[in-house]
Parts: sequence; C-alpha cells; structure tokens
Amino acid sequence: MGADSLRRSAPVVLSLAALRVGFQRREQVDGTCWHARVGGIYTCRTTSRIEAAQSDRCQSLTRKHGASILLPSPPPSAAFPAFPAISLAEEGSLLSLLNAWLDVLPDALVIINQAGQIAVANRQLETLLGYPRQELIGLPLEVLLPERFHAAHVHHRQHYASAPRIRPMGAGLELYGRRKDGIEVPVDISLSPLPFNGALYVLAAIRDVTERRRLQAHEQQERQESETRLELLQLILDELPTSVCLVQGEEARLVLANRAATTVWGATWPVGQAMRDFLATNHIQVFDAHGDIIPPAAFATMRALHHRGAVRQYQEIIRHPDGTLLPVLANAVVLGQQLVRGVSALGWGDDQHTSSEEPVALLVHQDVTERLELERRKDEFIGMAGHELKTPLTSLKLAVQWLHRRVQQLEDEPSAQVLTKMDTQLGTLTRLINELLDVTKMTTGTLSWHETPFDLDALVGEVVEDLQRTTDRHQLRREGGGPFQISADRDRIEQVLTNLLLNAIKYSPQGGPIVVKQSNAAEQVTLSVQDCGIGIPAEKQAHLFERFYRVDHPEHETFPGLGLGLYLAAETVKRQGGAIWVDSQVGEGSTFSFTLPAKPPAERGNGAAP
Amino acid sequence: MKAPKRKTILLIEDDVGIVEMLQLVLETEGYQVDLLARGTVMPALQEPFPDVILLDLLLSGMDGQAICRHLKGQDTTRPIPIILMSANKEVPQVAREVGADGWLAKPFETETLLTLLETAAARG
Repeated sequence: MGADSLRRSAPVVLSLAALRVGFQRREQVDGTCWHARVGGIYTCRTTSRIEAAQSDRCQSLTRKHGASILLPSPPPSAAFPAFPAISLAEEGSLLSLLNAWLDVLPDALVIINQAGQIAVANRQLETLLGYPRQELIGLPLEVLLPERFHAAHVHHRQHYASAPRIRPMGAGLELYGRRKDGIEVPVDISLSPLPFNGALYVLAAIRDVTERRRLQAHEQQERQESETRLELLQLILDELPTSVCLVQGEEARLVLANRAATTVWGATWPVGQAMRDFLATNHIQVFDAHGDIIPPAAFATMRALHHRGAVRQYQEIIRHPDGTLLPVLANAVVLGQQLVRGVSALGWGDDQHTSSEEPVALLVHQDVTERLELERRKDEFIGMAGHELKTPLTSLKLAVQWLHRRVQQLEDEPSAQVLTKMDTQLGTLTRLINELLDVTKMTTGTLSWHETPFDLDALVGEVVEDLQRTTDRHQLRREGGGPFQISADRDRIEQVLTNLLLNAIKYSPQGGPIVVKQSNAAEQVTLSVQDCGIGIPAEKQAHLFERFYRVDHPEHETFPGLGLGLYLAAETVKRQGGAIWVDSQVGEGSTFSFTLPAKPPAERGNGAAP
Repeated sequence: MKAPKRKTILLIEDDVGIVEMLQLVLETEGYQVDLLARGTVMPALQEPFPDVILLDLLLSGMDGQAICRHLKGQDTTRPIPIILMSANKEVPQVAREVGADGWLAKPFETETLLTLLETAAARG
C-alpha cells in the first residue's frame, strides 16, 4: 500500500479504515457489491437484499464460501436501536429466518457493540439470565456479570478488541453470569468478532454449565472417595494376619499380595512371578495334613485355577526356607469374568501377559497354628474329661452289680429288679458319654481307627444277642448271614450295629419284631435293621445322619439320646468306604441299611487330591 | 489240711471310690486285696509277690505305662500277670505295647473283671 493506493476509489479507503479495526478483506466483486470476509465468513456488505443484488460474481463467491450473513446497516448515530426493533420481518423472509434462527439456537447469544453495550440478545439469553430482552438492549454487558468481575471484564473487552478472533473466553477461568434475581450461573463463553458496517461487534455464545460443573464436582468427589476407599482397603489388607494374594493365569502369576503373604509363605513373592517358580526359588515346600508332600498340580491354588472353580479350607503345611512349618487353611477362589475385566482395567498385573481369557484367582491362606494348638488343648481336655466322667461310673457300676448279686442271694426279687434297672441306666450313661467323646474327637480329626481282621457275622450275632437281653417286648431275629471276613475297626462297627438296634428298639415302643438282614457279596456286605415302629417323616429323613439331629415327635415321649448315634454311624460307614441310608414310613416303621466293603479304601496322602 | 491260700491282688488305683468298691467286690469273691502305699514313686515290689496286679493307667504322680514296662522288664516280676484299667478306649493298644496280660475299659462289668482275674490268677 502506498500513496497510490490512497488515490484509489473510496472503497479502498474504507478498506484501510476497516483494516485499522481488525483484519478483514474487502473485495469489490463488481460494480454492484462489496464483500467482506472476516474469519471465514463472507459477507456481502453492499446490499440488504441479497436476492435482488446478487451478481453472478457475488453468487459464485457465496457458493464458494458458504452462506452470507446479511445484516442491515445501522444508522451511524450513537443512539442505538435494538435490533429486533428494526422489525426484521419487514425486511423479508431471510431476515425473519435469521431472527428465528438466533432464537432457536440452544446457546444464549448476545451481541455487543464497541462500547460494550448489548445490541442483540436471543431468547435463550432471556431464559438463562432472566431478563426480557427489551430491558437489556443498550445496557452495558457488565450488568450480566457479578459485580466483582466488572472491572476486569472491561479490561477483557478492550483486550479482545485489540486481537479479536473466535475463541473461548477466559480459558481455565470459572466464569459466572448473573441473573436478574441476583443468582449466579456458572457459564462457558465463546466469542466471535462480528465486523459490521465498519464497527466491530462481538458475538458471545453463552452456555449454562451448572450441570457440567456439578457433574465434574461429583466426579471429583467420587474419585476421591474411591481413592480413599482403596487406601482403606489396602490398609485393611495389610493389617490382616491372613495372606491374601491375587494371581493370574494357570501358572498363578502374582498380581498383588498383602503384607501377611510374606509372613505366611516365608519369602516375598515378586509380582509377575509364577507360583511354582516362587516356591522353587525360595525352597518352599507344601505338605498335606498327613505330612506328605503335595505336588504343585495338586495345590489348592492350581486345582482351583485348572477347574475354574473354588477350593476352600484345604489343609496344607507350608515349609519355610528356614525349616519352620506353618499349618494353613488354603482357600483359592477363581473370580468371575466381570471381575477379571475389572482387574485388567485397573492396570494391575503384568501388562505383557494380561489377557481377559486367563483365570484370575483370589488366594487366602490362613495361619491356623493357634487353632491347632487350641484343638490340641481341647483334645487333652477331652481326654481328661473322659477319665473324670468314667471314674465315678466305674465304682457305681461295681456297687450296683455287687448289690444285685447280694439281693439275689437273699432272694429279694423286687430289689434285684430295681438294681437291674439301675445297671441299665448306667449302661446308657456310659454309652452317651462315649458318643460325646467320640464325636468331639471326630470333628477334630483325631478319632482313632484301628483296623483288624474279624468275622462280621460273629459280631452281628453277638450284638443281636446282647441287645435282645435289654428288651422283652421286641423280638430280634436275623436273616441271611454267613461268615464274612472284614478288615475294619471292630469297635466302631460294633457301635454302628448297637446304635441301629438301639434306635429300632427305642422307636418302636409298642414292641414287635426287629429283623437284622445280612447279605454277603464278594467284596462287601450289606446289612439292614428293620423295625415296625413309629417311622420317620420324609422331610426329616434327609437330615437324619447330621450331627445333633434328633427327630421331634411331640406326640411321643422324648427318647433319651444326644442325637449323635446316627452321625457316628454314618462317619464310621463312610470311613470304611460304605454307604448308609434309610427307608421309612410314618406309622409303619423304618429300615436302616448300610454297606461295608471288606477292606477300607486306601489311605489318603498318596498323591490323590481330596 | 490247710485251707488253700487266698490269691492276692495288688491294686494300683488312685480313685477312692473305685478302690473301695473293688476291695469289696474282690474280697467278696475271696481274694485278698493289697493296696500300694500312696506316694510310692516306683513300686518296689518285694516278696511275696501278688498273684495279679490291677493297674490303672492314668495315675497322679506315677505313670501307669512306665510301671508296667518296668515290672515286665525285670526278670523277677515279669511273670506276675498285670491287668490294665483305663477310661481311655485305646487301652487294648496300650496293653499290647507295654506287655500287659489283659485290659479293662472303664466302666467295666463286674463279670468281665472277675473272669479276667480268675484266668490270670490261675496262671500264676
């Protein structure tokens, strides 16, 4: 540009003037119109009716650059009519479309002039800030802001005018608008310069971000809560005396572990290392409750992972590198798929192998040293208790039997009978105490089991004979039979038979026949005890062999017993590898049957996983 | 002719109730019952030896098993039949281990006791 250019026609001068305001390019299209391009918006400045004045060039430019916005030119006076007051509708359909368009936009829009006064306000602005727009026209924009921002805002306006471009306002700042009722609204604002008729207007699009801020704050809070929760959980995990580990993959690579894991395993398990390698490197061995070494494939952990299931309360003994033995209860639970995805998403575990196809398991190993110690003390106590209880019984029995002998010799029959009853009661008492002691030992796994070979047939005969002597209302008889060599704990089997026969007698108070059937097969014998007594209701039959279970018969008298006989019988039969079951009908009687293999199953500990 | 000498039973048992009843029962049967003096650490048996020893396994101050082993370990006392008594149902196993000649699980039938004693005393 030089003096030459100044001598060109007026539009050029205008163009320079325009340049002073901001950057815009004026272009004379042809003799009819002038176009201005500001920030990509191509505006035909000359005419107010684009249809009428559109020259070919104008048209082509319009097509090339998109729609033109046509603004009516304001009168040059400072007095500033409100845009809507110009009644755009008069000007034609495009302008009324424009008006409608402004009002339809979801954002609140305000256009201010160079003096910072509001020239245009759309309907959303009314809604957002609660002012009818007529009120706003001509007012300084600052009325829409909280007072504390006024001074700064004036600065902002001036700053913007010096470098106007399309941009958000106050990036990083929290902006607020102020409603007519004084309530502040958090907003986002974007600004666009709007050159018009030689003046620079600014279009501000205002968005209510109350909801967004609220969500952000909520998210922030949730994140903090989440972090706090995680911290707390980590703390709890670390305080637990039980080892808690998360492993991934069939080789059980460590994902995370709590502090107790090191104490329980006897060494620190590095993240990412497979369980087998961890144990081998640190010379840690795992034994089962019998003291036999467990091969890795049979570990509770490995079994759970392999079968994608859970193994719980499995007794293992961990031998530390320094030789200390730690008895534990191992629990290994494979997580469901959703949790597995969650674990991957949390970024735990080693990235290179992370795959949602791999099983993830939670391992909880509980140190049970104390528990075993308590059990040992309980066993000791039980031993003592047994002795204490049986001591007075011993002298009682001797006394009753001595008296019985004596009164019989004196031919005092009534006294003799009484003493017989006393003797029977003492027998019951002894039996109950034994049952109690046995079952307590059974639950702590210390029930004795002494296998000897004997003839089961002979035993059955003995027991039937003994128990017939206790009742004269019942007729005990045998069916089937024949010698059967069995290798088992004779006392326990005797107990089973005794219990079943005693029950048969007890639960048929009317008396009647009791049949003991025996059928010998090659490898096992089947025995059954049948009575014609009161029977057992169907729904109770399922629980019959549970500990302490007693069938209530309110209409009958209470039968003495601890509810342990059948439980012990079931445990004994199972130990031998047999099965026990009942058939019964209320009012008709019951038949208890059981099978006994000639030999019990091979003892565990030979590698067979329980 | 002199009456046949009564068989003697040495009773090593702590509980007073049992001791009293055993004495009564056994004396009624015709046995002579001797008791071990309290507080004797290891019974120093002297001649004449008893015909049978009835020994309780669980004693305070003395270990029944150890006594049995000791007596069976000495040539002089080995021939004396020892019958163990115990509230513990494992007594058969223990009896075998320590070399006892019989066992009784408390509380036992009088008849069982007498039969065992008769058999044992007859041997001696």
